[in-house]
Amino acid sequence: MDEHASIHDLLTLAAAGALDAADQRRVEQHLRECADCRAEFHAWGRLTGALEALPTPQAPSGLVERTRRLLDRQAAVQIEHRRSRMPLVWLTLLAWAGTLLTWPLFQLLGGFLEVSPLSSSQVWIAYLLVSWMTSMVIAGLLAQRHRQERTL
Amino acid sequence: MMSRIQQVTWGAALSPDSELTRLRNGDVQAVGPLMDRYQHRLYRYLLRMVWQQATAEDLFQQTWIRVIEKIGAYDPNRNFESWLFAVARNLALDHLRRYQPESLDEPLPSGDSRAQLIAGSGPGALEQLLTHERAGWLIEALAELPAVFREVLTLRFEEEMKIEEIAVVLAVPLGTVKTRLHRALKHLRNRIEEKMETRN
Repeated sequence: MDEHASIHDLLTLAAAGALDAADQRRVEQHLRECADCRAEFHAWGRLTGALEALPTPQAPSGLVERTRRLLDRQAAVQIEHRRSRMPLVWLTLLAWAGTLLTWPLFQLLGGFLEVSPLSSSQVWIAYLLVSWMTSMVIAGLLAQRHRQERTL
Repeated sequence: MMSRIQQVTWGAALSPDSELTRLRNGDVQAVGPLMDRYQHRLYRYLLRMVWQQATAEDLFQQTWIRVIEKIGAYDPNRNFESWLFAVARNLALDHLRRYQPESLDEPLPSGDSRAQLIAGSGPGALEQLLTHERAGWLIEALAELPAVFREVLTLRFEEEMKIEEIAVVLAVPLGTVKTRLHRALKHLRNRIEEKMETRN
């Protein structure tokens, strides 16, 4: 590509003020010598000038205020959500702690049924695992439902 | 106990840094002065992207909700303005993908040849247009461009962003911004001159 064609391709970016310093110098040098490119550059300059001078749409009055109210509502919902979530967290922890306290009950039942202490320990651990995992699955499902509700 | 949110009033005049610090610390009311500062520019950008007033307003609101949600991910060393426009852009693109996917199609490079032909026909028609019915025709032609071209033009000429800032907003390399800008101007000129030919 000769210098003229190469500069011709740069005229849009030159008019847009988007060239680096070296290319800008090349274009300016060429424009001093080439009337065709000068005319073309001025045409691009008129277009970019017209873009710069476009009437600027303003945000409708009240939009910011409406957005503020929306953000206030969202913040209030989040605070309420946090408040309502705390008792659930404590209840869950309490329920998990409660299952730990069933150990003496299992020992007592094992004694009645004459089951070896090892077997009653295994049954108790299995009971713990099943109850904790069930509660985790339920918590996961509730969280998923909550996310879906928020999306809606 | 009165929460921090209740203690602060909307629109308190503070520096952007202090507003951003407050926002990052969870004080959502700090977004008020930021909204005041950027309302017209952000709205204009969204309007140019989606070209519908109601949608632009909706996206404006979603943008500030997203800003509050994602402010933790904002790097204070970065330019907030570029980050804000990038957030708005992602929401606008999501909207366009869902409702006007065709507007995101970038014309093939082969389109350039026609534009070059028309551009080579001289500045006469363009000059005539720009002299007489500049703004209306220009806006009409702008509206017909694909969103990828509209956004680069509006960021450069209406928001007066530097090429480097546009690259951050669009999350593309500098060279891609220049290519899009070049092609957007050519397509715009092409459209304008087509309109002139039809009119004549």
